[in-house]
Amino acid sequence: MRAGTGLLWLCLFGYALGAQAAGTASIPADPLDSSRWRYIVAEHFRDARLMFDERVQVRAPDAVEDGRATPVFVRISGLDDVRRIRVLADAVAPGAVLDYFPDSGAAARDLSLGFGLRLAQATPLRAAVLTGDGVWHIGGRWIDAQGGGCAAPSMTLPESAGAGKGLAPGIEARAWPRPAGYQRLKFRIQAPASARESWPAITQITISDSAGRLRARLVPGKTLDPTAVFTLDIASREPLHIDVRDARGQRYERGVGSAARALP
Amino acid sequence: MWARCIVVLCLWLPCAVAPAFADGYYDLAPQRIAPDTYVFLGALEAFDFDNHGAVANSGFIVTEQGVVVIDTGPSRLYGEAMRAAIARVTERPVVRVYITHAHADHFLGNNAFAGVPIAALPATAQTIRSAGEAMARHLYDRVGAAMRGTSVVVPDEIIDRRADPLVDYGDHRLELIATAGHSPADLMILDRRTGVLFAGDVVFHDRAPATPHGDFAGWQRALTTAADSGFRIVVPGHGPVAENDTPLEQTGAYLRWLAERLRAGAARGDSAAELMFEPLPPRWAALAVQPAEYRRSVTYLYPALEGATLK
Ligand SMILES: [Zn+2]
Repeated sequence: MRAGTGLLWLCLFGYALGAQAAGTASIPADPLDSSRWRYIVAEHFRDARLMFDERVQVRAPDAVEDGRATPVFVRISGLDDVRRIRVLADAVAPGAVLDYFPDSGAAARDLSLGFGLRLAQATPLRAAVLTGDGVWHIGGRWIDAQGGGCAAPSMTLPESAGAGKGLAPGIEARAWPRPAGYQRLKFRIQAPASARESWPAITQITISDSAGRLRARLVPGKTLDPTAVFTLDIASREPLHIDVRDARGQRYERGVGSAARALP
Repeated sequence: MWARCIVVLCLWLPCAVAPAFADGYYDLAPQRIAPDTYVFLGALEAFDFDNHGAVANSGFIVTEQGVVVIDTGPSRLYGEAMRAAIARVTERPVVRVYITHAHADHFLGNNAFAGVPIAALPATAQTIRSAGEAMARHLYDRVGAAMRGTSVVVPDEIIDRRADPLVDYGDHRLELIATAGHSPADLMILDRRTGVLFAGDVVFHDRAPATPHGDFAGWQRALTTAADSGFRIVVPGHGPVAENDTPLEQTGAYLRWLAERLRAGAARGDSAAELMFEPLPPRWAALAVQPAEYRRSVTYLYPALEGATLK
């Protein structure tokens, strides 16, 4: 951030004082110093136990680039029994950017999630991770609107990453084997170029294995770029099945072969 | 030798040679780098409210026929500050402006040069015509009041790439070198008299190359063209002037490293924002505007590589 560190700490201190005065000392002061933090807590975490946690890392570019999806990567390491990951952008509240329900049966201590956002302004971006003990573990970072330097902004409006090659919506995907029996799944949903404007919102994406067991469920929010690449780490190397539903009740599916066999 | 094409999107006020308020934003001190040859060095930063967008190098050559200006900076006030600084060096008039390429930090001072022919490659003029307003708005958002009075002036002289690339201004024979790679059209200007190469953004020096519109193969060819031009002094688009090949080699090596890092990340299945946070080798981390510029490169260039790995 451009604000000097001293100013930041002054703001934090001032906020902490204000919070105590208002009798809301149980809300932890926001390390990102967002003016919307109180509203975020009220909307998503009322009466919940919260902690800012280094084990939840949010990675994203320093700034939004005009006309481009902003890539985001969430990495959770060393947290047991993760039930839900809720991604929030303060500036696009209310609502979540994305909800991710991982395979709660797996003893996964490490989880990753990659996606793209259509952001137009500076915002704190947060990942809140709910563990089985009812605690939300929160990590985040600021994305600045003040992007650029030489060559900003984009001179031509870029094609949406998944701009259609065919007429029917489809799913492109691939899996990579990862250590410890994991696989990394990447996929993107292709909208036909002619239909991009009128394309219905994606309401849910589910990933299941060949035995029909649910491995992951994603519920996109309004600023998610549905045509950007999704990245998930799955605690299995079995073949997977991707099932996408949209707001018109349409369903797109495809299978992704075993990551073990895809290994060159 | 010149094809003429005049399009002016916004009218400027009648020319004021010595603006009263320019100094408030831009303290431009020309540095003499060779006989008759001066540069204004930009800050090694991204645009912000403190540098007022003055992040690129610009320059001028004082010839017997008048002053030749190379790039006009990010705003009308910058262009006016250039004119005031030039007037402190010489009484000769500015007779031509060359715009190296269509990025906002290099041409938005054009409306301080009313009445002077402004020359650029065809694709540069085309991009300024179609996207100049959007670029100016973007810069207004980034640097604020220093942009006041700025409007987009499209170059009115199109450089004919089939024509004689040599242009004489008195005893300064300038060679106009048309390349592409940093952007769709990158003009370099070699002064055969002094050996000074104004390389535009084909060459960066101690500042991470900006690659949003980059084409790696074309850019490497442009660097080879620059290296083979016989220059003695190179003025990069961003970064300090050098009397050797170092900035060219640095730019080429960085672009090769970047292309390989992106390719390897896509092959491994890295997610874009994951790859952005891979540490940089010390040599590239030490460049100005890192890691922000590397991360911008991933934002712009990675989606196509990543998408190509999916079936
Ligand atoms: Zn440039």
